[in-house]
Amino acid sequence: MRPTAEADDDVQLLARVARGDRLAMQVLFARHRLRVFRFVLRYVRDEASAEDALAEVFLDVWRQAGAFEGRSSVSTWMLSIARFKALSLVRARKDTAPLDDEAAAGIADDADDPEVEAAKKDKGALLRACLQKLSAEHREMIDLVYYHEKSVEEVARIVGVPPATAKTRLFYARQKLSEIFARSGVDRGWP
Amino acid sequence: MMTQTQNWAELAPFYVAGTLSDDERAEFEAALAGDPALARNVAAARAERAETLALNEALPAPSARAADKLFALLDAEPARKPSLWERLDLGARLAEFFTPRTLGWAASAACLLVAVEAGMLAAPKPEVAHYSTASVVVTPMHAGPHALVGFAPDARAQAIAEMLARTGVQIVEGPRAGGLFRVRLGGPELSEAEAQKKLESLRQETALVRFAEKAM
Repeated sequence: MRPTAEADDDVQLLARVARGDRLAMQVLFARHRLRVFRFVLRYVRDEASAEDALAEVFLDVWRQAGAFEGRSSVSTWMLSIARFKALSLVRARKDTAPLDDEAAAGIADDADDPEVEAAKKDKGALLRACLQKLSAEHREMIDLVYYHEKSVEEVARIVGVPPATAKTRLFYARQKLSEIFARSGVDRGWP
Repeated sequence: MMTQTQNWAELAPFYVAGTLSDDERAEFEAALAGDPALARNVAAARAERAETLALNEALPAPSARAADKLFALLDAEPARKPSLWERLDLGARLAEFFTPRTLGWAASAACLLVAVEAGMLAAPKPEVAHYSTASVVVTPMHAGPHALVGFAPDARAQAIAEMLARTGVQIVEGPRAGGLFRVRLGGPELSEAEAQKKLESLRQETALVRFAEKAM
C-alpha cells in the first residue's frame, strides 16, 4: 500500500512525541482516538473500560515513541498496542469471571435469533446481524480489513501472524459469515 | 499449495478495501475480468465492507474522560530529558530563516554559530507549553515566574543545556546588557516557594551560573 500524506504526518508527529512534545501528542490522539477506541471497544464491550484502555494505549505511545522504527505505519503500530491492551483486559476478566458475557463474546453464535429473523427482509440488516454473530477472532479480521483499511501485511503485524495466515483467516471468517447467512434461508451469492 | 484462484479469492476483501499494491491490483483486475466466481466474491466483499463500516460508525465515540485520563497520566510521567540538539532547537529555528539550498552548508554553519552567540540557545518551543485537555487552551509560552541568569564565561554550551534540561528552566530572551539571559523557571502553576527553590538550585550551579536573580 502506498504511504499517504496522513501516514507521513503521523511519523513526524510521533518523532515530536518522542522528543516530549505534548502538543504533537494531543494532535496524534485527536487523529486516532476514535478508531483506536472503537477497535478496543469490540473486545472489551463496555465504554468505560475501552476509554481506560484507550488512555493506556496512548500512554504507551508516549513512552515508546522513541522506539518506533517505522517498519509499519503509526496507526498499525498503535492498533497492535491497542489489541494487546484489550486482550489483556479481557483475559484478566476471564480470570475473575470465567463464565461472564465477555468470555461468551469470543465464541461464534451459531443459533438463529429474533434479530436475524427480523432482518431477513433487509439484506443489509441481515448481513449486519450475521457479522455480529462471528467469533471475536473472525470479527477482528473483518474490522481490520474493511473499517481500518489495513493491508495483508498490516493485518498480519497487528494480529501477530504470518501474512498467509492473515489472508486464510479472513477467508474462513467470510465463509463462516456465508454459513450464518445461509441459515437464515437467504443466499448471498458467494461462495 | 495454494492455487492462484484461491489466492485471488483471499485477496478480494483487500481489493475492495483498496489496500492492494498497484501491481497486485492490476493483476487482480485482469483475473476478475474473466472469472464470474471472483466477481461474485468481490460483490459479497463490497456488501461486507458497507455493513462493517455501518456497524463501526454506529459505535460511540470516547468521551472527554479518556483524554482527561491520558493527559493526567502524562502529567505524572517523569520529565523527558531532551538531547542537546532538541534543547537548542536550532535546526527548526534556523530553518525558518535559511535553507541549505539558498545558503549552502558552510553558510548555514556560520549562521548556527551566530545563532548561539545571539542567544537563541534553548529558546522554548511553543509545543512544549502546558495545556488543559478539557478546553485545549494553550498557556502562553512565557507565562510563569522568570529570572535573570548570567552564565560563567567558560561554561560550555552543552553543560548549560544539560543543566537547563535538568532543572526544567528555559531561556526565553537574551543576552541582555551584561550578558544576562531572561529564563522561565516554570509554568504559572509554580508557587512562589517553588520558584525560589529553583532559583537557589540555579545559584548552586556555580561552575555554570555566575548570577541568578528573580526577574519582575
